[in-house]
Amino acid sequence: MQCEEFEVQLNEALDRRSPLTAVEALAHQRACPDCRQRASAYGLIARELAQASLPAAPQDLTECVLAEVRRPATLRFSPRRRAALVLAAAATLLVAVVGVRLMGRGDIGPAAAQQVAGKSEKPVAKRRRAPSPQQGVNAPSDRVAVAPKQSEPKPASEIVPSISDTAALPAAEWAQQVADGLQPVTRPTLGAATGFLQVWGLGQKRPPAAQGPRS
Amino acid sequence: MPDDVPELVRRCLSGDEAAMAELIDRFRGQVFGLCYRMLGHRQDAEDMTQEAFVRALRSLNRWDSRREFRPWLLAIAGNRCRTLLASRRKVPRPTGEVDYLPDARPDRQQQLNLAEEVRLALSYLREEYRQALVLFHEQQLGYAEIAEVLDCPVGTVKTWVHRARRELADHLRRRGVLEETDHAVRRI
Repeated sequence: MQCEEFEVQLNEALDRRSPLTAVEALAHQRACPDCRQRASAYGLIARELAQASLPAAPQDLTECVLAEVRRPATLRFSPRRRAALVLAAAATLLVAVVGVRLMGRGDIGPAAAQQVAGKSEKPVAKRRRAPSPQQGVNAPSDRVAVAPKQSEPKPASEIVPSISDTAALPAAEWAQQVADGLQPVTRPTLGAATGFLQVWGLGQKRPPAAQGPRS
Repeated sequence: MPDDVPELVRRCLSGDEAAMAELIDRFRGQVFGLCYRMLGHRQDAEDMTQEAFVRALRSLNRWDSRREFRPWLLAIAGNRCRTLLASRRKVPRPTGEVDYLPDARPDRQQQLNLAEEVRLALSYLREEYRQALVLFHEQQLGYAEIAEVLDCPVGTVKTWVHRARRELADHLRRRGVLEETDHAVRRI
């Protein structure tokens, strides 16, 4: 018998949880020091594991498990997932703001796409032009004009005063103008995003009087 | 498997906390033993045992009563341990584990602690090997049950157990444990 064959028979005996009884294998074990040692080792392992004295489970395990089971399931996110959700929310907000701004200005189209990608300077020049009286009504891309009247679309130059037009203004004043111009479109978006963050990103606990996002 | 487990589960599903406590008490030793062997760390094992029971109780309705309960429960515990081990790999291995060097102390014979050596050797095994070996020898599960726990074919489990034995034996030999105990371990 070869050593490999001996090991196979040894494993089979252990798998049956019975001693090695094959005469040929026992003869090989007596003659081969390596296999004898292997058999000793396998027996030792089996015995030690079967008789292992493991530490006892904690006494309060049952109480802890039951307390946890009683607790209603809540949304719990790992820090990494929470960060991903916040980033996703921020990206969504950014896209929404940029998109609404472009729609409000009627710049949707290839030129706007180029502008967003930062590949064209022309839209900047267009932005500087003072709006003609007709531009707000008859401009070819005046899509917002068809929208509900509650938020009147403002010309681009009103929403975002260009730097050249406002070079003389203090930075704080210019920023205030920008904020005032953007408010009608950003307020609802920001409100929605804030709500989203409260419920999902920071949502260890559900907001009161709300069912939470899992509906 | 105790015959009344399906009845216990039915009571658990109806919200009977006494039944839940009985179910936990019945399997706590096996679940904790598996977690402890897989993780080699008492606190982690306690946490994973608790998580495993919570998950099991919350998803009892998914247990197929035609199948054994114990492998189903141990599979949940094993999965929790694997998840923890996967996250552990991202941080350095905890200290407290002896370096993998031969021990040449002259008083080795007096200080020999077989259980500790086996525990140490187990910690060097691949997770699948360790889990299969522990389930077979320590938890006394059959190969079919282990296959169910580990969600893999019976043949694979056998291979893992055989490889685990070999690696464990090699480790013990390198540590000098077998020479010391050869006279005491003559037969299987």
